[in-house]
Amino acid sequence: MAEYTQQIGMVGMSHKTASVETRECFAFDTAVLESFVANAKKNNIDEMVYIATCNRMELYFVSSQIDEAMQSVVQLLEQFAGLKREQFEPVLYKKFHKDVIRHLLCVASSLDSMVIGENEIVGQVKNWYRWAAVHKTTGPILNKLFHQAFRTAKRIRTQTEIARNPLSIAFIAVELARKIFDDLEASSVLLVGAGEMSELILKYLTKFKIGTIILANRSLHNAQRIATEINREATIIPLSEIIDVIPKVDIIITSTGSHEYLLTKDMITEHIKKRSQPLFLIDIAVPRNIEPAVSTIHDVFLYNIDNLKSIADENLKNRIHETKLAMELIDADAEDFLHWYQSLEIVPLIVSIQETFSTIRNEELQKYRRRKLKHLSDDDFAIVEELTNQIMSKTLHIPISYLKDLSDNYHKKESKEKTRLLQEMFKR
Amino acid sequence: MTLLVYVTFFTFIIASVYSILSIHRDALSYIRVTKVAIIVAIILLFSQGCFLYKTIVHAYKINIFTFFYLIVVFLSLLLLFMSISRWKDDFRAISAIITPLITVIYGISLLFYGSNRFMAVEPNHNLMFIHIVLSLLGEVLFFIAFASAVLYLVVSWQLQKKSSMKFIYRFPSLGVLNRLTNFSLSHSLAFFSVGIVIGIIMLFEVYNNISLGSPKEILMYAVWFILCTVWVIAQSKITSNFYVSIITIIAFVIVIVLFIATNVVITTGFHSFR
Repeated sequence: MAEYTQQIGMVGMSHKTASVETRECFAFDTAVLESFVANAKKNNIDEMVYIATCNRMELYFVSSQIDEAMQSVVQLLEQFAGLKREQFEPVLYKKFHKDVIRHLLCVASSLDSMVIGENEIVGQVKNWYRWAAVHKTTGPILNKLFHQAFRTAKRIRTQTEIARNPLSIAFIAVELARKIFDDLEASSVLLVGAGEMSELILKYLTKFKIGTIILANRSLHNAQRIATEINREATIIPLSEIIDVIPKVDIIITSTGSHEYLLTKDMITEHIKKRSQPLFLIDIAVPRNIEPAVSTIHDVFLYNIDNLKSIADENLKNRIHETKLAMELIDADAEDFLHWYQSLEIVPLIVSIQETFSTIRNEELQKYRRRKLKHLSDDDFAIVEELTNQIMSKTLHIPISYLKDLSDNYHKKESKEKTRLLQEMFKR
Repeated sequence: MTLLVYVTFFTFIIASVYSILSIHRDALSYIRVTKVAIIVAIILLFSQGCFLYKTIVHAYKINIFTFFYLIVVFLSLLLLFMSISRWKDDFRAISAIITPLITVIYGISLLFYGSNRFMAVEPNHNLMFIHIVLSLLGEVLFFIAFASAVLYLVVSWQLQKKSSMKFIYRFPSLGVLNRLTNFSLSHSLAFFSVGIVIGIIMLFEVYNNISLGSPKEILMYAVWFILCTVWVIAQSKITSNFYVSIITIIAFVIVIVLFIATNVVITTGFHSFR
């Protein structure tokens, strides 16, 4: 009986092992990739999926001669990247079998990403898998493995907090605004001054369809530039008029070079009396533009750059803490996949049993056709053939069903022993 | 029946503990146990209705335990409503405060289990059922307003702390909580007002008088006045949502203390347990 020997391998490099200069040599465009795939098929590679993102390049493949396949893949990489082997082989990682499964699940779940918990990687992996499926380079093993990876990524996203707490300061500010106002469309923002971070916060706010935007700047030209960049209608006012518009806004972002407080506790206390809604103040400026005592007023939430940074650090700690739980889920899912993979060993055995019985049936029929059944017409003999085939199928139905059950529990020692025994019995 | 009552109470305790833990730890297992425990507790609670039904409908009188039981049933129904309504996304945080509240009220009711003090459901009028349902709905919605006001202060405190967003994420936004408080106060006042008006109509039809001047009757008007004052403050926006939450909590505490005390102490007159 032919043994089931197809194995999974992978080779790749990431931001952890290789510089961007090296990684970019392996970012193949689709035309090059098509040629790469065609070459791979000629080199005993049965299934293959290529993944390239800004942080990694990885090749997952299946072959019945895994060591030779690994050599071929490295050779092809050398040929297509235009680099000498010694230039990239030290930064290349090669994995086999169980390590490949765990690695892909980690990659898709963003545990191997530069920013743990980021949600772009699973989409990128899906796109590359789709490309491979369209170009028919996947097969039963990689199909199952990648679908398992997508399921695991979703499970980790929903069952852990790994992706929940943002790490970017601008995004944290926006998430805080959403936790205060619920509906940003009905809220208004005042941006005082300009700066990279404050503009980024404003851009995120516009993504969440913030209502009214007011830009206050020493230079009206600068304010106009920001309005153009965010592609939204905005009211532009000089810095001297910010006191007048404060009662109309819910969020104030300050980022000026002023060495004096632009907003003091007295000013905000006076303003808050006239409103029932909370007020969210983000002070990105150094030195600060808003008097720190403002944060003692109820329903006024003042965050400066250090507050936002410490939340980002705390969120990162939470994400790292969550990786432990995520790894447990990955181990469990990798184990499930391995059980399925090992159960594939049963398939050739079933085929072998069916072939053995079919051969015996055919040989005996031919023998009888030549001697005792030679008086039968072709039509009558066809009936006998059909009859024996039916008897064989029904006889084998119970043992084959038993084998299929065995394959579900293939990871158990007892099941493996039974399979080995059957393999011996039907060895030809 | 006694065993059923205590098993229900025990299940509510489990539901309360897990609902708080599910907010604190955010583990999926806690969330699942909370859901199951709440459902089991409510099923057990409703099944008690089979035993209490006869006293309420046939004998037309209820003891203190049954009265509290009805409040717990209405609160549970509101909790179920919230799990499928527009508040469903924030159900976990809301249930973490309402479930312990139900448990406390149910626990208090156990003190009066088997009490011989009954309130006669009088006068025998066909509007009585609507009067009871609307008044109880008004009362339990005030409970909900209290719960969301407490949550508002918790979220506000978390935002002032400026620590991790881990906990903030598990709670509804201040905007949602403010809307829930306003929604509960408005509906509570509306139901309570209509309930009182129906009560007055029944009194007029049966006794030819709009008030019998009993202490509990006056207390009901006092509760309505407190509720109305809180509602006016919340709607007029003369103060911040933070202070509206504090006022709601204070008002609710006053009402609940008065409510429990008068039900225990007052033994004469209309609406009292004799």
